[in-house]
Amino acid sequence: MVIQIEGLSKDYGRKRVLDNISFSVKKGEIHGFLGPNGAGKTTTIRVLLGFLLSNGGSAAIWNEPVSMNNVAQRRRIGYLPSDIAFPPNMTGNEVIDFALQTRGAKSEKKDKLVKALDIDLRTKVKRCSKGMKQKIGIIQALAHDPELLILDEPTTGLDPLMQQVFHDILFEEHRQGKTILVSSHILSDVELLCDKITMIRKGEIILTETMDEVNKRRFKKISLSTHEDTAALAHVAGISNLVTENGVTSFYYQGDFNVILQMLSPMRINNIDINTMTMEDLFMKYYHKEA
Amino acid sequence: MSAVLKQDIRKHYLSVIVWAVVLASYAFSVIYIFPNNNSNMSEVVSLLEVLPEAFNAMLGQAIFSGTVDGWMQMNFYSMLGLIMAFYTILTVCTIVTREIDTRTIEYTLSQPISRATLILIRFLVFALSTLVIMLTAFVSEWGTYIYYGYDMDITVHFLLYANFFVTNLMIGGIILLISVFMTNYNRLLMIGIAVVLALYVLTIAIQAMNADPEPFVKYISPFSYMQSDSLLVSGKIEMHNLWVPVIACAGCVAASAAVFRRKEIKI
Repeated sequence: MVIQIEGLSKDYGRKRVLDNISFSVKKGEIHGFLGPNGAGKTTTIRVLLGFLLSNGGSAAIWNEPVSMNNVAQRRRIGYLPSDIAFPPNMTGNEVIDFALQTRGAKSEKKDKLVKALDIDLRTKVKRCSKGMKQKIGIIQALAHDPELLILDEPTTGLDPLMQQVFHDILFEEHRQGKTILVSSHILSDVELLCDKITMIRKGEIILTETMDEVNKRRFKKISLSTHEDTAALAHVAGISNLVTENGVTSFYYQGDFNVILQMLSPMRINNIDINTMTMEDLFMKYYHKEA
Repeated sequence: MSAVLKQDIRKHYLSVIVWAVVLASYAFSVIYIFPNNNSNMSEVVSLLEVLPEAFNAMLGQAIFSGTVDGWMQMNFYSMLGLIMAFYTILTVCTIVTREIDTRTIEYTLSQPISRATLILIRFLVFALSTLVIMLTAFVSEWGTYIYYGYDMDITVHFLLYANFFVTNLMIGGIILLISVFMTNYNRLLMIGIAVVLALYVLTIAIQAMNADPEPFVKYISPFSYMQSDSLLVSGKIEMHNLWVPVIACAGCVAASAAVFRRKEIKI
């Protein structure tokens, strides 16, 4: 395991922001870390980076406990904070070069990233837009070719075109065997990028599953336009929320497609719509269920 | 380590140039306006003689020599410590607290630099900046003395600047130690200025008493270790005025590094 978190807890005064959370990230995995604002994602990441001390449990990276002064660990990590802030009087170049120089790394990858993200690094940070700062943040996190990337809301401030470029960059990192922990609100990003996800809500982990497992949980929303009696469908295993209105029958289905197709084949169907439940629907379902 | 050093030097070089030019100009100006005929100087001395003894004690006894050194003591050295203390506050507050306040600390600490190294290197850069500013003022003063043909005891003046330098390091150490417990830059600036002004006034008050107070009272303020007047008169420095500030500074910086190593960054 690259990241191993066991029973981690963190309090801010009397408020418990992380409550006995556990999850792990394997080598070469893109792991999505999901949750609404204030759920505890950034706090978890800050404990991993050694900015905060935990009040219980353990967090380890490469089987070594995280600490405030573990320089060797940080040398191998690329970190992109959420809502990033750089020294305002430094240029983009200086920000990135500082990250490279502290690690004694070369700038070949920086040049590639600068080209891909199409940014002028001669501008001082105080004159950069949010999107430019985010690009600088991405480059400084990736330029030294780290083995582990910890990215907190990485696509914030990027336009759709640059989001696509960023996805390509991340896929390339993944192909090279890098391990990536990415915290995000943008579920389409997570769906596209991640091998595994962990969902956190009010400081508690409510789900840790591979994307394959998540996809199996995702219902199909089926709508049929037919004059035939569809009441019998209510008794089919995997069908839920069956509603018939104005000759249109709608229901959720989870299970083997052949079963449902066999059930529908004798019917005279005028129209059929089959939609996969979106990630947003799935997460809302989880958050509401757990709440 | 060298990356942090380079980054910090780049951050401060402009302000160092400005402060060095200001202090050098100040030193030059004071000598430039020195009343260089005896009648003018005797008027100044006569004026000071009618002032209360406590006032003269505050300015330092060197003024009674009626020399350019005495004039400098009254107009420049008595302010030099305070001016440099303000530079110290403005610079030392940026080492940790301003970074936390502006949230850039997250970027800095995500790099592979130990917190103790960070604080030590940044304090070293502050010390070097102070040295450059004071050396510039010293050279400016020396050059002006030569230009106007006044006598200057280089050793005494060098010791005077060395004394101011180490005392300023001690003030820097104290401000650094306060700063590692704080996260609000503006509040720290206010506290730093208040502490320095209070200590400065306390030192003047102790001098104005013109008595021989207990060592604890005499040396309670860092400014008490600035010994310009007696140094100019006697040409000798009491060695504890050099080593006490150095040890106090080292202790404060070591304590600051120890605290910062365990400080949670809540931003």
